Amino acid sequence: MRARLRQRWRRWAIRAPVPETQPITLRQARVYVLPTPTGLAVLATLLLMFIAAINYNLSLGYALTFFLASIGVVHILHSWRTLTRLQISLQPSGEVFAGSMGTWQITLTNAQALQRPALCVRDAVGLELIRTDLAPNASISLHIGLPCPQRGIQQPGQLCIETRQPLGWIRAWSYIEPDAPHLAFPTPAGTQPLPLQAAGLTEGGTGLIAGQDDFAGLRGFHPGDSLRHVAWKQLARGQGMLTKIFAGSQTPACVLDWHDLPHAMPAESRLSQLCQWVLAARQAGVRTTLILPDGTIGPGQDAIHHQTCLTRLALFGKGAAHG
Amino acid sequence: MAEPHRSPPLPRAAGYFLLVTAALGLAPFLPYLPTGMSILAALLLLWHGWLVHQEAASPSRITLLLIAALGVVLTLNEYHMLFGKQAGLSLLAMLLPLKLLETRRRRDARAALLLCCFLLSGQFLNAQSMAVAVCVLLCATAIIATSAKLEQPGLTLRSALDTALRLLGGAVPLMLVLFILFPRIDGPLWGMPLDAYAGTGLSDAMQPGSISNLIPSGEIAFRAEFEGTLPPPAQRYWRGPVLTEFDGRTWKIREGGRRRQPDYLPQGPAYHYTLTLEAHNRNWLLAMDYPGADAPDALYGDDLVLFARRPVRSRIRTTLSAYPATAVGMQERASTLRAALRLPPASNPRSVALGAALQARHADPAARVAAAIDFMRNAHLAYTLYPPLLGQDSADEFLFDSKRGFCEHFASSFAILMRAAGVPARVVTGYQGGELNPLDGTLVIRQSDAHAWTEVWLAGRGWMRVDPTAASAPRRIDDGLASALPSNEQLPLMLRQDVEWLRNLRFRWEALNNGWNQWVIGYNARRQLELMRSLGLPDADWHQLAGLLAACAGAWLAWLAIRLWPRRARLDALDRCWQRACRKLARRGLRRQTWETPKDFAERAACALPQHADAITAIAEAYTTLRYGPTAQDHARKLAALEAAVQQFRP
Repeated sequence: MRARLRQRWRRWAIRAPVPETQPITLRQARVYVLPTPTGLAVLATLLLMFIAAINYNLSLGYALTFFLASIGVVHILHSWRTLTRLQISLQPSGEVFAGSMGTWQITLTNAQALQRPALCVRDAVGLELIRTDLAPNASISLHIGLPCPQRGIQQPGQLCIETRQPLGWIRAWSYIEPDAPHLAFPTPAGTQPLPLQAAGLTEGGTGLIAGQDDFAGLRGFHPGDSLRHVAWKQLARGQGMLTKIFAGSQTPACVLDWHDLPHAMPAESRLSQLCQWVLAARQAGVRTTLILPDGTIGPGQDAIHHQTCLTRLALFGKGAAHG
Repeated sequence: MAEPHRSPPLPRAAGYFLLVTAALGLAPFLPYLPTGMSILAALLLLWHGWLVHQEAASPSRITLLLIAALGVVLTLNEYHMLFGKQAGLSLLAMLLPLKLLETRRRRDARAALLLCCFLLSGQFLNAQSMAVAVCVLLCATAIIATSAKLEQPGLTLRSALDTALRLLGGAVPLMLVLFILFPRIDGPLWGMPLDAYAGTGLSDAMQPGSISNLIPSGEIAFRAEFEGTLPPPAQRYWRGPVLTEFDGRTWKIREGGRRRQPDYLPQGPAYHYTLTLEAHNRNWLLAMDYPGADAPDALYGDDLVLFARRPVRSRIRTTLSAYPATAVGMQERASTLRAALRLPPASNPRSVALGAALQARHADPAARVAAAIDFMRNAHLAYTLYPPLLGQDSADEFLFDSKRGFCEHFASSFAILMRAAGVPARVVTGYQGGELNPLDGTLVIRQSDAHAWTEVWLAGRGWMRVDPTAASAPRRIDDGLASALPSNEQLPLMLRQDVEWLRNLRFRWEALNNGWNQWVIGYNARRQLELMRSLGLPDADWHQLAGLLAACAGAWLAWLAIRLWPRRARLDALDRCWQRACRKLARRGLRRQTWETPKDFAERAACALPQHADAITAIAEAYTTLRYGPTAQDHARKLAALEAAVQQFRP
């Protein structure tokens, strides 16, 4: 209930349709300022000093109290301007599996001629993710990790960017909810070995690949080719990256079939098992065909094929809008 | 937002910052502390400095507690209490280095800074001179710089000071506005600890100098809120202890009876008022002469003083009435009159001789009184806060030699003169005058209004008030102390200087100090009102002040916000040119999206506006070449061409 209310308030505080189109430029109206606990302590001290000044008729006591209070007011302006008109954008980066941390690249751009020191990005529960200074007319890219509990499309969710510049009495902050979807693949899990059709391959691909001796020739390296098949000798001789190819009849292949898994197995466990198989096959360079209730992918062997398989697994049963 | 549970540890550089700040805050304090405490505080600070330098661990809690106990013992030894003003300051001064010693984390450092702020304002209880103000300003700047350093440990000393000064620049005008316009409240809000009045307030004995010691104190003694009209200044005599016994140097109270009812009959016009008396730890109520019979829960003394049943240890409020025209002491006891004639033998021979001469010349006691007043008026006695030190026969020296004295000298000498002339006389101490607070209409009587006068007893007329100060300095009674003192009050000290320029310098310094005292330290509700009047707001109430304050502060903040507004970095000529072209297209509804390269955008725009396709493509191409292409020899010419093209471009 509290979390919901907090989310509602932040949605309102963003003052823009969410998730927001990137890049996000912080308008002055969505930068909020409030005193920090330190600031409240300063305020309480000032109140005490003010009462002392009244009670003992200390004119300079008034002056000192007013001086520190004015510093506080100017502090508000400084904190506020450190965030105002800052540009933020997020890009998903790397692969992520449900239940682990997804990585996003966050880019902070300062198109203005002012220092923006001690910017801090926090996640929805207030954990500090990064802290950085930003020079005038500069841009900085950093990586942040956010939890992705479920498979499928994962938005980074609500983030908070804040600064307590320059004295830590006042916190200026702004909530953002950028539109930077990451695709979380199912958690790889399961105990079943890779269902190889050609014999001689052990589960996990740690063993030798059958038919390795039946060398058929060389061809140019394509991204996605297994590193095990790179012709290192040729590379060392300066002939460039080449991939060894083997006789087709000997290429291991497997069919990863949804229906082959035990009947009692729940859907998510099936997806986890299939995902683990796909990963194992990718590592071993095995030619695979993935059969799902809503279609068949493959056979294929390259990176794009594996990517397609993982994407289908991630989005299985979630509508194909992002397929 | 959840704070990290443990505050980060304090880096060494920040420790140095904190050390310097604390030293700046503590240094002006040391002369005012008991010697033991000064040494303890300084040693603790040095120890802390050593620990920071060595990056050694803080001392154990037990050690700190023992040191704190030592400080408490030292304070108790000096002040015999812990919660008084001075004792509190002394403890506070020890607390700061102790807090520093146990500072390990950023949180502790922040708490130490707040303690430092509080210590700074305690500083003003000791002194409010310009030097102290400069010291405090320095320390406040150090506090700001240290706060910045704590927030951003990476700051260098220079950048931390830079940050502090930048904040200072924005804050000082705002502070001035607040200082001048914030509606002032006349304190105190409540009674102060007992020692707040140690040395201020009347006592039951008077010797030369005991009243003038009170004068520098601006503390409020009491307030009186009158129903209806105020009594004229000449009737505002607030009676404190009446001193009858005289031993040649000191005047003392003669203990008499106290009754539930006055032994006189109140007559004439009455003034009803509410007295709000600050704690002074004595019984007398300081009622205006002469209290009516309706004082609640009060006792009437033989010498016309109104007493509370218990010493006034906290602020009290009581309703009283005064009948200034009452005849008092018509049937005075013989013993009282005898006491009022007694003089110690062989003291003040010249005054006694003068009194005897008056007695011989005038048979009528009233005529002797008038003659004595005439004598004092013609003796050219100067009324001054800084009388020379007087010896054994103070009245003689005052009347015939130094001729400079404060009200206690006038009252004491006149009473001696009268006793020598055979007229019963006694000294009355109390307060005279008071200042009307125009905001709430109360009469505020401060310690600086303390006064001493004389009463003589005439047969058939009773006790008559005679204020010998009024004879020499009549303005003391009508306009208050400040106007009665000669304007060159400080002169005697300075006249000893023979060097002209040095004296000039001192005059200037004194004038500056006076201005500081008058306009900064003495800036109160009344001054504020005067200032508003001179600015053309004749009766500014707090509504107007608050309005003016909001307007001025708002204007300053708005200006500051505009100055601090994050501005785009200035583009170079080429980018300005391209932006201009983009703006022209945007007016036709073609907005360049952030992801579009100039070329992509140009293609889209060319499709949308086929009649301008050539111009758009040419401009985008020229821009891309100039921006991203190799540096050309004729860059300037091409740029000029592009500028001309954009100039002529009218989509």
